[in-house]
Amino acid sequence: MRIFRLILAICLTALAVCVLLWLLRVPRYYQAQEHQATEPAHGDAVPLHLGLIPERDIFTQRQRHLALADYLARYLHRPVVLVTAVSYQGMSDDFAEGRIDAAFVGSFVATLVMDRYGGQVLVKPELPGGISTYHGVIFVPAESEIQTIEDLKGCRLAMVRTTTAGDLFPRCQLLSRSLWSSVEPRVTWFGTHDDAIAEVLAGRADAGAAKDNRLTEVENDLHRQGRGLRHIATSKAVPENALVARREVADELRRTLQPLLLQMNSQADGRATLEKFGAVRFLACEAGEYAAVHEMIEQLGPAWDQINVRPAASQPR
Amino acid sequence: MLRRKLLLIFGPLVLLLIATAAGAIWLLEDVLQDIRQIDEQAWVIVEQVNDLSITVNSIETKLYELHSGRQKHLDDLIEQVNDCQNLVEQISRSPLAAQTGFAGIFNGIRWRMPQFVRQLGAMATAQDRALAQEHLDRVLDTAVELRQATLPLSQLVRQRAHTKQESLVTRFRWLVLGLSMAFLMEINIAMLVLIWTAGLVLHPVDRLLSASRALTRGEFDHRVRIEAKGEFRELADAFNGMAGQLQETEKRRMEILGQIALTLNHELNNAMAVIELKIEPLLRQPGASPVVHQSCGQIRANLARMARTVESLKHVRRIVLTDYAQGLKMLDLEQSVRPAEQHTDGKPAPGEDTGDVI
Repeated sequence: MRIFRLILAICLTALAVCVLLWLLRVPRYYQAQEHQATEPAHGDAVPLHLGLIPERDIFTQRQRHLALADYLARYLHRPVVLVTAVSYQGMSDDFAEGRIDAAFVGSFVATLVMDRYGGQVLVKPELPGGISTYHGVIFVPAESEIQTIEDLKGCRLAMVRTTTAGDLFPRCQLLSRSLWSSVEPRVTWFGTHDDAIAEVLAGRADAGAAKDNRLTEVENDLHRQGRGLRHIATSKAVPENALVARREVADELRRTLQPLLLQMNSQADGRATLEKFGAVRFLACEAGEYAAVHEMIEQLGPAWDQINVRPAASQPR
Repeated sequence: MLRRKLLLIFGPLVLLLIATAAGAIWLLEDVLQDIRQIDEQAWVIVEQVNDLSITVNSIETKLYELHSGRQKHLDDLIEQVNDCQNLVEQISRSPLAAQTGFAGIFNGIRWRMPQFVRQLGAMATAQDRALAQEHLDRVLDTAVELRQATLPLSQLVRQRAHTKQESLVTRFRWLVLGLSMAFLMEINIAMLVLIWTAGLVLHPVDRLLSASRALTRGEFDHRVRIEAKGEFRELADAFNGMAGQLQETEKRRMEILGQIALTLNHELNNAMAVIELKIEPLLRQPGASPVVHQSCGQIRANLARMARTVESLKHVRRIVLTDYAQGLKMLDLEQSVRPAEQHTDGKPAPGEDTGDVI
């Protein structure tokens, strides 16, 4: 009888264990909710606001910069918030009102920020192939009859608003030949260099102005299709989209942010972030590298007012 | 032997109960799994579709704000479009997305999504006001189409989830009914097994009790027959052995009694013959008084009684005592010559003397 009791007790224990195991499998929603609620943050640290201006693909652009923001937040021990302005004007306002601490901007906007708001350029990216500068190019379809700038008179022109390559350079070229007044009414403005190139390829514009980096990429594709574009004018080199710091925080960011960015390529996670960002490394950048932009602005003279740039809200110098 | 038998009976019974309980848990777990699946597949999708509709609405609002110049940043818009894309991706991973009806509507949304994103990107980057307006008109049209497509989708998913839930409730009801029947049947089986097991113990005990009562009555030839091997068979064998020994002892005692009776018969017959011979001349004497005749008659009658008593002693089958005087017992000759009647229930036969039997 003792054996029977023993077997019965073992069976009942096994049954109890089975029931407990079954109960353990019940989903624990509350734990999941608690876990979400207690996710750590950077505490009360003041966030670093990084400004962006929409480029080709705003979604890809944001993803690229989010990778960089995560990396910077990890090493700066403060949150990094991306602020994407609708336009150059929006970004100017953000700089003037202190809503952003630094921004990745094209050479033209960088020059304006430096001149108008006392911003300081910190770094510029080096893209694969050792590219850290670009040129503005005026181009036409390969089969076009247009050979020189002078031939652009009365033509339809695709240009990119508030950029060195797509706005300042072609404007200077046309102005220097007294062609601007006759061309300007037929200019179609685009937000991206790709859109301007596409307009020319679609035949809706006779000529276009864009940066050579984007143009080379498109030309490689066209070459495979037996088509091509012809360059009729090329500007001097200007730095790629550089990081410009607001005047009030420039010194601090030069001490903290600049070395971090310059040393990114020496660390494994930094290299991984750079790959996501689309660059090989960051290089130090000086205001002097924007001399070509200044020259073009000087060349514009009184025609500067025709550029769709509002006067500065406050002039630091 | 009895323990092993009980173990063999109760062991499978317990195992059967455990197996049924495990089966019940497994079946209930299956139902719970289905409930979870409905939660994951249907209600989550309903929620996702609703979120999609809300996000598209919010994007529309943001687009109007951008156009009117009230909004100067694109971050919220980009995040919401990313959320939109993630929601569409999540919904497309659900098995529901491949089902007829749902797939038709959902593919429309999937097809419009990249177009929506492209138009939105173009609108965001267009610096020319007229061009931006053109892109905005297009993107708003697509947003409206997207929002309209999400409404029937949510309704369809909710309807399907409801149908599936109803079928699950029916299944659960049948499952509970089936399990109740199974457990009821098992309880009945357990009761039958318990009754049968009690019979295994009670029947041999009854027989042994009956035999012991028969032995008490002096039925030494009574035997217990138990066919099944085991402890009760051993007990019955021991009992039968003991009864056999008692029977043998009784037989020897009866033989001795018979020999005593024979001796008495011999001696008393000689004495009675002598007395008879002496009475005869007394009765033949002429002039014998009637008193002599009467006395001789009484002597003869008592001699006949003695002869009968001695004769009875020769035929004693068992020893049955009766009260003679206070504290004294004597042989009940009448009962002792009668054969003992055997009864299986152990009770004495009607009219049987309940005197002490040694």
